[in-house]
Amino acid sequence: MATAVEPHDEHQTDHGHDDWHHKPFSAHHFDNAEQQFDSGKLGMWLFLVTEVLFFSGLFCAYAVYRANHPEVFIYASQFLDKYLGGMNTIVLIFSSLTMAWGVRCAQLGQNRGLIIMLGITLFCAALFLGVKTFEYTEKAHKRLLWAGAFASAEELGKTGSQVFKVGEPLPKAEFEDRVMSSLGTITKYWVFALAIPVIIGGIGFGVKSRPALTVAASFLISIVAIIIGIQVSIAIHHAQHSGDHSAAHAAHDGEEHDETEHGEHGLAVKEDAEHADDHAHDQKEAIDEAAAVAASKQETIAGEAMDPVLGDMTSAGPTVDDKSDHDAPRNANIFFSIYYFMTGLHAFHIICGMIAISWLMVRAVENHFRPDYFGPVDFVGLYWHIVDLIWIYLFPLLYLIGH
Amino acid sequence: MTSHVMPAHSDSHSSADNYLTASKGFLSWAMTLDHKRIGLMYLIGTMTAMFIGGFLALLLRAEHLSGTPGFVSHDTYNQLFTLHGAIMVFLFIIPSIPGALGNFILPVMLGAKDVAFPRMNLCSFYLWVFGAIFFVGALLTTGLDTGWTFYTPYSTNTSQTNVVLATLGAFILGFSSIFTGLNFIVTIHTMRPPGMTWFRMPLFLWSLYATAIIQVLATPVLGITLLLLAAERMFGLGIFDPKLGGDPVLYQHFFWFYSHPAVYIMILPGMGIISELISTFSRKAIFGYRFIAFSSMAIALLGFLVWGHHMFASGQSEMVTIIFSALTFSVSIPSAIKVFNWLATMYKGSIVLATPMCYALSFLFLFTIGGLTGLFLGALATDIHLHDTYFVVAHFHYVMMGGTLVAFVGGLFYWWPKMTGKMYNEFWGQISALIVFVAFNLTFFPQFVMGSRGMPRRYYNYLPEFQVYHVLSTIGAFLLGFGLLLAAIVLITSLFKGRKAPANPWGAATLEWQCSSPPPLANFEKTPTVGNPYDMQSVVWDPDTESFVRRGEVPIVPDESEQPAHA
Repeated sequence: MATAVEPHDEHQTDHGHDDWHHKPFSAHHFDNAEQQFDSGKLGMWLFLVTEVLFFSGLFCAYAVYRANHPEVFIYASQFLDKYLGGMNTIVLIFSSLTMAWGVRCAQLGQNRGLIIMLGITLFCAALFLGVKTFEYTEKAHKRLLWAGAFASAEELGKTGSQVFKVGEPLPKAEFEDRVMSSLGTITKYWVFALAIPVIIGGIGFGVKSRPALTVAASFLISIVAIIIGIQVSIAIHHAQHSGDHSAAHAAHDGEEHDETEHGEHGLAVKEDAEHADDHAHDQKEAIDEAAAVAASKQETIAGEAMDPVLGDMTSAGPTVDDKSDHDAPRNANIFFSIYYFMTGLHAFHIICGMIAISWLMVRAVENHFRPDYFGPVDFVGLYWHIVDLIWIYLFPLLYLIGH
Repeated sequence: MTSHVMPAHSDSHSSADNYLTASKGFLSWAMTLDHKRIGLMYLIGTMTAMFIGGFLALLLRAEHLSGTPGFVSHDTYNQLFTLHGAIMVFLFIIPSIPGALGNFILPVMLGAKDVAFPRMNLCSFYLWVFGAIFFVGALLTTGLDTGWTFYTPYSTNTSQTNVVLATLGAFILGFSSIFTGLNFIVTIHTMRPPGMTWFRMPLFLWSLYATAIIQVLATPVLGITLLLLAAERMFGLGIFDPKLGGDPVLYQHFFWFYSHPAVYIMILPGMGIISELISTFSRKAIFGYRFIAFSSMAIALLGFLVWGHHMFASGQSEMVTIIFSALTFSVSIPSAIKVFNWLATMYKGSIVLATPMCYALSFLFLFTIGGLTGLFLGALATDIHLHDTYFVVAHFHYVMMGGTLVAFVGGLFYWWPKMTGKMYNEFWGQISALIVFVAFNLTFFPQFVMGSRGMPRRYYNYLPEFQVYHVLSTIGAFLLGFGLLLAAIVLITSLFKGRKAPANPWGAATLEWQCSSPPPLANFEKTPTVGNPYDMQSVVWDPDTESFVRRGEVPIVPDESEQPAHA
């Protein structure tokens, strides 16, 4: 009897119908909770389809450029820190677990569990952004920027002040200092930003507004997690870096091989610090391997036809003649264009997800969700999983090439 | 909006209490979640865009009265054709039928109270408004001279105009389109009342469903493309810039991967309207219902496989062009199926030449010409000759304007009594249809001739030998503008002078004619009977109410086995 077009008549003894329309979050144009939930779920899946297609253009661009310029991708991906990327992957997969757990809590009516799970998910999301902050900052100082920005840095070089090559770091100490001081500044700003939750929380406390307090808590969790993310990244970076100094120095006399070796070093340092001799030996092997790879790569690059039309954009004037082993392939910066656009768009989706999760927390604290009404949690959960899934594709495609 | 706003007590309903009068004031419109009001707002918005775009077109045509520089400079000329194209495509044709007529009619035709996500529906309208503001911003600041396709590297490196503003406008409009499509798909899947099976859905709904699939699947690709374009222009991303290692042809692939399916976003709803009009005014059930329904879906799917035919001259490999050419021809099959089914529907029907039917007949002629000339362009050898000439311009105007716009105006006349509760003046409506048909051919047929003789499109000047065609085309364009203006005047006058519309003035059997005109806020005062949407024998003329009524008062109550769509 209940149809989508049936007029709502209070005199009728259709109790199911009336009950439905008097529940707090029932939309008037649906017949029952099931229809509302199904519509929302289908809508969310369709939205996820559009999200996948939104990224598909970028994956397509990736495929085209990787097929056309494999050497660029093999070369440039060495500048990405796979440990930081791997940590972010683990963080996001874990956040997917907590999100799914939160959905389950909502279905079972465990409100406290739901709030805790949402909080952890939010924490992981912000942690991810903290690590990304470190990665972006480090790359910015290494001039590992998108094509256009690199070109302008090059123009800077032509005016005589400095000449950059793709990925060429500044002199070691200066580079480290600059990265760390930038990160220090960024961290300081985030610490200042703690004023936001304090103010919102204060107001919320003053006017006794639970939603305001929840929003303040969301901000607090996010900011703290971002700061932690930055500091953890610095620690991981230093852990790898100290490896450089202990072994690579002796083996290779300070040559700028550190990028290709990062992986092996970091791993070794973590594994065992006591077996220093073996360690150094391993190290040397690893370095030799890396050198061999670099050499073969160089051949590949030479083999690839250098398109005369495209010109030589990456190695600026003075260095054109003496190409060392570390010369970047032509247009290596196109990799970073793709890297920044894809990861940036993904980070934007993370931020949207954090806003959505905060909104869920506000509603969860207000006790809105019940076993017969948990649609929003489910839908945001789906969204969060797709954001994680996209990262799971981005990580190997960008970080794990040629390793 | 909670349940108490639904004034659905059948006893308290008077005919005066409809969706237009249920609440008053600016906010009751600006914040409305009612699909009918949102549809009306879309109608006003898209019609405004159409008249602005049309005005720009008339300026272009006036400039072409002579082959020498006229009253606009060549830069202004570039801006005029760009904005004419961009406004017509992004602000008018794509949102017009789904946004205005679809929003209004779809839930009523389906027998639902509203679309599945009313808030998203309102959001979609406001996104349209924001997108329009971006376009107007580009228009008022620097103009835009890239052509509506924003081809790189001109748009990223050369153009001095505000390309970023316009691309962001198109990006926002894309989301508006996605939201509409998403809403329609979910509504059709989950909101069908008992008895409304997939194959009892009127064909307009099938066409909107097919359109919505394209909107959801194709538009995100345009979104990312435009973002890349904006990033390219602002930061020098390099993806489309050969100087930085990028590939400008990749932009064309991305762009047409959306924009070719978008052509079917434009034409499919028009085809859906024509299916309704032909059946109703032939007083005959539609011929080949399932073929028309499935051909809509076939067009939607094939539409994704033919984008390369916009790039035959861009240096694709020969194998690719041959494949794209063959796939392009395949699209003509479902299109032809529709045309033949419409003709078969009219065969031995008792045709009523009411204004909507006049427009539908115009559509048949114009769309067929537009479609068949498409085959010339899909064939590789002739395309090299006709590429970028006025032949192309005439072809897509025959499809887009002769097809979609004429169908839209026909549909507007058809549903006008339902939307406003007023009957328009039939005589002047028919005159407007006649003028539009004649003037349209006068405008665009000469363009076929001059295009095939080598007149390139987007050129500011032309050789004297083309002048006669240009003059004919310009005269036609002004007549066409007059015809459309007359149609608008006929409709607007009816608001003040028109007699009150009955519930079912045309004798159609689809659900929207079973509720009063204009519909009540909740669409139906009592449960509509869901039967065969094209069973013309189920309604008879009732002289007392001057309306068609259902034969026999006993509604066919859906039997117990017929469950709602969501069960």
